[in-house]
Amino acid sequence: MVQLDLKDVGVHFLVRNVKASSLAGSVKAFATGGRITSEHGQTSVAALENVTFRLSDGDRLALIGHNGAGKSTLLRVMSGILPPTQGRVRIEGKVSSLMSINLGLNNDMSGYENIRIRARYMGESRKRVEEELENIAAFSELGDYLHLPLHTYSSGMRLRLAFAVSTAFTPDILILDEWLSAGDASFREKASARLEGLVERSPVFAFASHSEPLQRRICNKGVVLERGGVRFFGEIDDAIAIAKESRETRPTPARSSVG
Amino acid sequence: MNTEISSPARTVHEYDASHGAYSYAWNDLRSALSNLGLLAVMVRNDFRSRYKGTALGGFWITITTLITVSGLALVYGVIFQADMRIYFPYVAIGITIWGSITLFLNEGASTFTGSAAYFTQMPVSKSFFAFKTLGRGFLTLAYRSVIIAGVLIFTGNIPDLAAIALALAGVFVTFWAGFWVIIICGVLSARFRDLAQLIGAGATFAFFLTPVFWQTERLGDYEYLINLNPFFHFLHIVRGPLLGLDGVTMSFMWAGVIAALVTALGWAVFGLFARRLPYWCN
Repeated sequence: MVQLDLKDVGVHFLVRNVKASSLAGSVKAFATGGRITSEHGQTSVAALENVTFRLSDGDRLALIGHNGAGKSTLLRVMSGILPPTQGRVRIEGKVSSLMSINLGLNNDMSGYENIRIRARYMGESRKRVEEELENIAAFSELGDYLHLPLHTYSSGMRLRLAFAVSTAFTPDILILDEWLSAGDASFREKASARLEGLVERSPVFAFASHSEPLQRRICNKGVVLERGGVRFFGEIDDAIAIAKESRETRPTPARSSVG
Repeated sequence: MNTEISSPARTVHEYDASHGAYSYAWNDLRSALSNLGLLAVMVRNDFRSRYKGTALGGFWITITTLITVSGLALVYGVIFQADMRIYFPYVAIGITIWGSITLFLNEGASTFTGSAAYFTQMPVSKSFFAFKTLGRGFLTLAYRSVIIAGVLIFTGNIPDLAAIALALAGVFVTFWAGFWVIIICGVLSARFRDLAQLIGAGATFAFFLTPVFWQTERLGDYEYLINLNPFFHFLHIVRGPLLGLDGVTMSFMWAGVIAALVTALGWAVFGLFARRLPYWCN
């Protein structure tokens, strides 16, 4: 059984080189983000606080919240990248986090070599990679370019390559920051279909998006984040309604307490 | 508890912020070691990128070392009126091992800050990058050891198999300690960014205090003081066996003790702070 279990998760970032005395002026800039605290001259930002929920087979979660609500931080905790400063995380299943698919591409290596390296970074065995190599190559439509070093590629071609590898292996838990797309109109259609297929095959899926139609179409659960805390966790329609309501009733950016 | 059981069926990653520090670090190390294949590929690619477009590639290290060693050996050999037959290989081995030591210190200091883009955005282990630095050190040593072999043959100092085995044991001890030095320098420099600069300055200073290109006999009555220099012992456990110098056993003991201390300290530092690295390098 694939499971993702968060209990009382908190993430506090220490902010260095900021004097508490200089904060009063910058509070407004942080007003949408997590709570800022200052203790013993050390300033920290609470990006997440007391986040508790559990996902299992069949759950498709949308993270809903305005900028700085903690969506990306939460996705990084759920991917096992960021060990929280408080609480417990239990991830049962292989996670694939497609948050920066361009990462780790090497300009001097050929397309094929980059496919291999990127796939190995994703935790795939050498055998699995070799099995999928031709499929990935075919999907990228890069043909003979795959034998050339990456610095001969246009940025669109690089993205195609990165997309083709990143979406080639079905994980137990798929994590997405934004809906990915790549290439020109015709490739984009193909890419979208491939990504949707991947989402459908992954037992658990979580992503952050501001697109309501997308949230409704793909997800069955929603978590509403507000300044690092969970406002609501439950059915997607309820989550969207609550997020909408809080948007409307939210007063002009609240001042956070610093002291 | 924090466990990561890799079975064909399911991977489980568990982490508890209140008491999971050491198991987090342990899993990190285990996951890095289970990926040695990728590590070899990364080290090779790193080298290829660095010497991209050059005809000689990594052999530029060999050539640069040859020039440095010849220069030092010729000039100081004359100044010290040393026996070239011994002094030339003495300098060659000294420069090579010293190169490894400074790589552990300097590249170690930038290991985690330099690879933060990876481990703050992908679920990869942090110690993987410490192993990568170690791997680069090893490949550099391999290219330089061509010079050692050449100089030993050229000067007629052909060591027997036992001596070579002992020198290789010395290299092993040096690299074992080196891994933990990379960890210590890397973790602490991620937290205290001034440290990397300080380590760089310190390494230059240590170069002159360490008998890399001068012989310990030059210290005369103060020769015993050289035992207080930890770097000396790591040089001596490789150089001593190959050139048949005295005090190799003593240096092996010292180096072993230092390696054990560095291991304990490194594990303590990594155990306590591995989980903080994504925060410090954010």
